[in-house]
Amino acid sequence: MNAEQAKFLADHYANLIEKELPATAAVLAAVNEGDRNYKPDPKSRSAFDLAVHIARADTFLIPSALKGNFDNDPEAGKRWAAQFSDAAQVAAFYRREVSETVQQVRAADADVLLRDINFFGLVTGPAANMLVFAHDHSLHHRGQLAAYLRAMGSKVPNIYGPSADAEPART
Amino acid sequence: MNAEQAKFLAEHYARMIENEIPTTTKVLNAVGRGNGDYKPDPKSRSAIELARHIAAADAWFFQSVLDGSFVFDQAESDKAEARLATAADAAAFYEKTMREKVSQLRATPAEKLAKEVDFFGFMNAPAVTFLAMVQNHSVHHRGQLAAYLRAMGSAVPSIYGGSADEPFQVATA
Repeated sequence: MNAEQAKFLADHYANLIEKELPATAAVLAAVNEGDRNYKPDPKSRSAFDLAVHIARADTFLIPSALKGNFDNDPEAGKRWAAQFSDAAQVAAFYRREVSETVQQVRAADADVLLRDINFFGLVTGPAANMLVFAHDHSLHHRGQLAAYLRAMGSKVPNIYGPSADAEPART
Repeated sequence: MNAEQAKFLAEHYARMIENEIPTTTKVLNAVGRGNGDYKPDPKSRSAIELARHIAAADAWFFQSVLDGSFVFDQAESDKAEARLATAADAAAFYEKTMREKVSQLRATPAEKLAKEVDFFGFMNAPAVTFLAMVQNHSVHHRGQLAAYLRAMGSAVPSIYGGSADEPFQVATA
């Protein structure tokens, strides 16, 4: 990957993340309309825990990639999660912080995007490639959470098209 | 977008999709180890319907990018899904078809990938950029399906890391 390609890829993903932001915030906010402790199985995360995980990962992975390291302190993560008392707060945080993250991606210099970074000892690659993982990780967990919503008494917002729960268009 | 950028992005997605194929195939196969008729709500797709949708829609979406043209035929889509009777059928079709399309993508001329195409009157963009929709649609529905698996009596394979059912194993020499 050269400098031009790194900037091109970062812009591509900044656009994608920006486009996905409203749908992800809507799914996070929908957790507030049902039983936030719902989980489909005892081994699964609860809806609220999953919402917080999405917000945490999406505001940790990309800034960490741009910073050049993934220093993850689980205890600090727990303290961070404790700031939220409900999913509406998580959604509001998500809207604000991910918008800011998108701007950081667009402003990142090519040398930052090209810098090799180690991802928890699993893989090493250019920071630009970590944007890809962060993006797909987010969509994966949002899909999971969307599958919880009806079973927990909430509704599924539109994601990649109309949901069966979406209100009909008013004429 | 110039031809060089289109080729770069196509190779990026070829590698991405190639990496995701084994994981998605595992999730589709996992549907066969539980109650395929399970759905979390009467308004939701059942597990087997979702598995068929992932396999057939990903293939259609990918082929549309390769063709540089989006034409949706509901009857054809229904037929494509109906051909996938079981979860194993959906998984086998998905794995074979997606690998073929990745090869076709790598052989597609840069000029065709960079050419602007119309997406159902909503937007025009270079054909190659719609590979993001192929990937995102797949990851989204695979996430949904993964959330069904335990409740339907199956198990969740590792996806972007170990799961409680399939913990991450560190390779040892």
